[in-house]
Amino acid sequence: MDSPSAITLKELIYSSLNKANLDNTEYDRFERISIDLIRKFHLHHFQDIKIVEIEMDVNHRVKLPDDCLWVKAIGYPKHGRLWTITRDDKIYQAESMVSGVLSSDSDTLENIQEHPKYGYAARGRNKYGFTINYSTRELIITGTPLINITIHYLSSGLSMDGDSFIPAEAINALQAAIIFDANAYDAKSSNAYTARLRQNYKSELYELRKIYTTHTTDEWHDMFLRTQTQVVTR
Amino acid sequence: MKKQDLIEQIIDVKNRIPTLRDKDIDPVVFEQIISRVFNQLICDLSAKGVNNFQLLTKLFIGDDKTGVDVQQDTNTGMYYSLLPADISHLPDIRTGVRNVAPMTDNSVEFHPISRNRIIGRSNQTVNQISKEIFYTPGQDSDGNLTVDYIGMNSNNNVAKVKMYLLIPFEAYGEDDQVHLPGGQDMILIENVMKIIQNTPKDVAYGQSQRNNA
Repeated sequence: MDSPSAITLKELIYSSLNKANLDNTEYDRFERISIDLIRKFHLHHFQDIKIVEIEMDVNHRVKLPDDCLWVKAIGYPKHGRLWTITRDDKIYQAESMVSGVLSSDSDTLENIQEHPKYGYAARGRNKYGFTINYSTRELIITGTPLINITIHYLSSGLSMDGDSFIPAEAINALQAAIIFDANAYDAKSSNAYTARLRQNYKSELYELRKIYTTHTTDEWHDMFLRTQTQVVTR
Repeated sequence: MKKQDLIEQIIDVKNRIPTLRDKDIDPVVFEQIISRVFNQLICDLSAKGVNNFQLLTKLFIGDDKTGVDVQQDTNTGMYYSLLPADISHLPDIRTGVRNVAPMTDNSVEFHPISRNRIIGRSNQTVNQISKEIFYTPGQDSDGNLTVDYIGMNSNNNVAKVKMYLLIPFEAYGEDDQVHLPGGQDMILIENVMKIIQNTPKDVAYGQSQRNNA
């Protein structure tokens, strides 16, 4: 059987523990470091854009996926194209805090009314628009009938049902990053060792970024102008 | 080496030392001395970073050989198992509970965690991203030694587990094999002899000599 192109979060943690010559007494710590780094890598180094279709509720709300870091495009497919919806933050969100708890306004539709032909629309306007309520992690859509919305979004790569997968090309860079982070915040770790791990992490990151994007100016500078790393050794 | 053989071997060494030969040690006291030194050796090794005690750990699978029961506390909802034996109290987070695993199913793994870190996992997204189960040794309100399971719930609970426990010297039966960690034989003997040297006669003398005195 061929090996899969992605590994699970658990495999990533175990392989990092093995590389660092540690056992699972450090599992909790490595797990948290791994989760933070996977999210960071997706935000800064991958362009893992997911496309999902989500049903709109009767109040024209669409729940954002749990792993959504930011929304790239929103629309609905028609004739093989994505008909995008324009962001409009003037749409009244009709949410209120009652005794410190966020609750839906009983009159949620006070500023969204049905378009004669296309469905609900902001009062007096009929263009398609959406706004994002980050506290409830939902979109409010106006101007469309009740349809399924297609969202293109940057994923954190972390699934909330326990099945997060790490792409094969990122494994080595993530392992190096995890071991570096675990040592960088460990007061007992020596400067020289941490510096070595940082250098290893950077090299692995260059390899990863070669696949996804071009290097930044700082990375070119590091590659061409720096010939050695001076560290405190004793 | 059997526990009894080890004790006899150390008594034999004592009897060959001229200054200790005349000390008639009560066998109970003798075993207690060896026990203290043995347990101290293991703790010292653990504190130095040694965590390979495979030959010293003993498998426990319950009296009926089907596994140690996992129970749920009705008051707190916490899943736990009663420890089937006394354990050595090592200074790392596993203490004497070196490994816990489901009795038959290998798809679930239990990781040790410090009790201080449990609070950092409750009601957090990390519990949804990861479905891992952690264990931590402790005591229940009646003072029984337990292993508490964190992250175990009605969806992923395990009914029976097997445990690898590191038991103290006094918990070994007479015919149980005692495996001293490599290179520790001389340290064990030297330290036992030092304690015998410093043990007062009224403690060290056996019952027969106390009766004659």
